[in-house]
Amino acid sequence: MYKINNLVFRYPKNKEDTIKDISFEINQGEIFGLLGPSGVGKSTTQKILIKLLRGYKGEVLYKGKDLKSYTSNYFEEVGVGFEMPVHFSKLTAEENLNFFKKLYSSTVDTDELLKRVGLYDDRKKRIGQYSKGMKVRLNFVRALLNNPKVLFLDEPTNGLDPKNARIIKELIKEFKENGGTVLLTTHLMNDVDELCDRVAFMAGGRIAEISTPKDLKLKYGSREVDIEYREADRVVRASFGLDNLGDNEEFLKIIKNNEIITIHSKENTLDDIFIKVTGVTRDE
Amino acid sequence: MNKLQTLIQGELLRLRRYNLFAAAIFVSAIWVGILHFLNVENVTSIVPQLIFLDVTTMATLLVGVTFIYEREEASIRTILVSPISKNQYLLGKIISNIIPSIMSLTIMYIYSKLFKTIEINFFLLLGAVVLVSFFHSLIGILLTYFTKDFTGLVMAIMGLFLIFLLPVILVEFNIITSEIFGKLIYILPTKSALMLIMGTTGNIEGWEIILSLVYLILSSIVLYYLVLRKFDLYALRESGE
Repeated sequence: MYKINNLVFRYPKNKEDTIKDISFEINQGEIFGLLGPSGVGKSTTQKILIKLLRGYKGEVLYKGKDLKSYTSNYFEEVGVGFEMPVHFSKLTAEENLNFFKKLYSSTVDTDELLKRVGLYDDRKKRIGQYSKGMKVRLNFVRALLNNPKVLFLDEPTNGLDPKNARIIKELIKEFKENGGTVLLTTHLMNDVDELCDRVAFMAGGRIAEISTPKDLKLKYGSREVDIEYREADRVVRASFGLDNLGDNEEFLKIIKNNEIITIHSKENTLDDIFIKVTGVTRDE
Repeated sequence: MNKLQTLIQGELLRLRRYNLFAAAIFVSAIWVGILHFLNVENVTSIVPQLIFLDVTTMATLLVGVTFIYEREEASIRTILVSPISKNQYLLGKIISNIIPSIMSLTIMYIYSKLFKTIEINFFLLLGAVVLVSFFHSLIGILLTYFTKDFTGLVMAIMGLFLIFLLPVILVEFNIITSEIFGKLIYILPTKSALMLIMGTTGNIEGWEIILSLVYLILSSIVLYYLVLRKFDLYALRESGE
């Protein structure tokens, strides 16, 4: 869907490049996570892909064609969900959506979407009366109203309670199941784990790591299994290598003769990988 | 419905909801009040003067305010990722911004027709108002590119008022009578705007009207080009650089 080759970008007032020669692909029908701390170039990369930034070096191809050759009609196929509220506060949700719907040649049934995200009964309320969570859900509906092929989502579940976050994640999955492609930026690694097919970690304007969440966990985890078991009224902990575990007599003896309390393979969480790969704690 | 039409309708709805129409009507009511309490029966030359003041200030201010609202509510971000061109967006703003000026003109004209004497070609005046409002809307947009908030916008408009509007008003109302000063202000587009509007009373020389018309049209083309060129930079800033 997207092919990015040797992308370099520098903001007009900056002395240093914000994006330093990055190359990656986003495949059709996948959910691709772009992750990293503040100022590493995630938002800049996303802004280039949604044509808000020009003047970059390198090549960005969308469906095999140079992104620069697309006119504003590009947005007929693209939906952008912002993290912050972006609606006219003195208009109702319905008025906001109807205004934007009229700008597209193809639209979806927004009433149905409003029902799914639990805003249908509040559709005639002005946005100024909406809570933060309601605004976030409306942003999501706005991003989907043109039945896009590609969805750019920035922190789509930020500020939502677990129930509503679940609804949004289900809608993202449905979008993918229907052939849609998603570029997701979030700090919630649980969301990344649950949703993303592949992720790229950015650090210092470059892509530090790119792979599937599972492969990254395997790569950055140690190939060991931790076991806690009870032995003569005390809890004992032990670690064993995963290789040839079935032939490890000590391990086999423990699981055969003792009460097992916990047993875990030592794969890293995406949180740990985030810190390891980017070299900083999550602050964005 | 085409996109420009949608943008204009959306803009007009927002002008209403954000009480900007109400503000424009309130200002028109002030002008009508002035006409009412002036002890002058024939308001043929006063109405264009008031319209000149109304259009030059309100067109600049109103369009600026709509930009500031879009910026403060971040709605500009979602507009920037909609399938509309820069031209459509800007023209939508400018055309809808001309409507309050036309409304003000109509209110003053109807009042004058009903309660005073006025001998003006309404449609010529309408044309002049459209052009002057178009030009000042562009100035308003350009100012918002360089101002951070509403206070900044008001300050910029005040500065503009002092440089472009005040000298023209001082000469028009014979407060400054210097011949050289009177000629110097012809370089100001606001003087052309005044000439064009006052030209509808039939008291201005034909060549002055034509010169003013050409000057305003050319200035509008140059300004529109500038507004269009600077829009990318504005969009970059508003998209959260």
